[in-house]
Amino acid sequence: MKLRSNAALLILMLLSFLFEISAQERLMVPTYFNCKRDLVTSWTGVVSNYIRHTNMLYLEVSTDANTIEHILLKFDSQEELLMQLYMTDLHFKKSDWRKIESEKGVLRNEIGVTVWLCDDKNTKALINWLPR
Amino acid sequence: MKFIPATSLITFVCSLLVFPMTSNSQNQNAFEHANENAAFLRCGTKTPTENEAALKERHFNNLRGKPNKPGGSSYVPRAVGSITVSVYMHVITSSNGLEGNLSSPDIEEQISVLNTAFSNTAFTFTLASTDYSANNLWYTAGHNTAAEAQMKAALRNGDGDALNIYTNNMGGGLLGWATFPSDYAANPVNDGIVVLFSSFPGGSASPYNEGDTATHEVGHWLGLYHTFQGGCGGSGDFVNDTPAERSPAYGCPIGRDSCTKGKKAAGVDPIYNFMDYTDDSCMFEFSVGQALRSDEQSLIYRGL
Repeated sequence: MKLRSNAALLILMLLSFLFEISAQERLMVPTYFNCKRDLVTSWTGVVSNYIRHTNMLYLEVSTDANTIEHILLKFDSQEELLMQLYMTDLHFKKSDWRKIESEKGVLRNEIGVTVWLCDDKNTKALINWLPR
Repeated sequence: MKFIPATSLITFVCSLLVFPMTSNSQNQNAFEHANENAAFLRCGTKTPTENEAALKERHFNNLRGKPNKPGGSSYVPRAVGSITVSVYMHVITSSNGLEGNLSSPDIEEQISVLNTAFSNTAFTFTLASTDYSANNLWYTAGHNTAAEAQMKAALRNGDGDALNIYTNNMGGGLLGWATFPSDYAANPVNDGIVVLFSSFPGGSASPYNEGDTATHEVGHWLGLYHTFQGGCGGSGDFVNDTPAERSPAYGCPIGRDSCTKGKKAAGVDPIYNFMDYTDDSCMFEFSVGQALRSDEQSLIYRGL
């Protein structure tokens, strides 16, 4: 009985993968993003280009709204960078790199993100990684 | 936040591949928006194929425009309030039933919010049935998960003209999601909307607790895109009377005008529109063009 149930779940997982398109979402501003609400915007999509070096991180995001966006973060230390990163809404840890990279500087396929931006010239952007 | 011209940014990034970066004390964010030349700015990545939205729109335009079909010479948009949509409500709670519950008055109030929001369109909504499921897996089901597929396979009612609303606590910063009319034929079981239970009127998800997440998702279910679809360029949301918007707006930024170029740039951002991401208290309208599009989409793809 349990075997049949697991098989059914597997088929549903396969179907959900095959039909993984087209739905559109509505997002709320996360509590960890400290920016006046009227100044917030966001990009949600899949990372289509990615470069990580010692002191910089560059992302190109192909958004669900059918735009291409770019963000470049510069930082003095890894700790400084980690302050700007989240992994599915939790603080990003050094061990999380292997969840999104197959090797250092090489991003896995189909890594989703939401980039949170504040138009106040002070608040740093945050990147919330959402592996799909 | 500092904007850097796209060409400069790409030149800079490409140069990193040749000249590794030395220490830099300045933290800098840069963002640049999509444009028609994006294919030239990809630093070796493949050029994207024509996007799905454009393909779907072409298909939609092929289906419409025939006599008696939407867009055709003899087609007359249907009267305000002339189409009744049956709503099948599926309330998912935690397994112990303590979280996620919605009462009959909560559900009736949500239906009332939908009817008010769509009052300038062809649609009215009437509750056909409500069922309750206590299931931890479904209660936290996210978008495109096996749990979502399992939940819908077990609960979905009706055909393409039936609106199935699932309420749960999906997490991940999501308020809800929806499927499009054009997807119904390919995957009918997946059809419907999923909404955060606490976004219903009077719920705890302030400032998203006036019922407009369901309104927003039903807008998608009837064929409407986000008002920021396509950013400042192209055809945007494929509706003529919603000004283009560079990216989603939150809160209620009165006077925001994020597009200065593009064929739909004229006018301030449609922050009051239900298909933006602003707070529930800020959004209160569908445009005439959206009303027409939803009429056409629902007739062609849902037989509504």
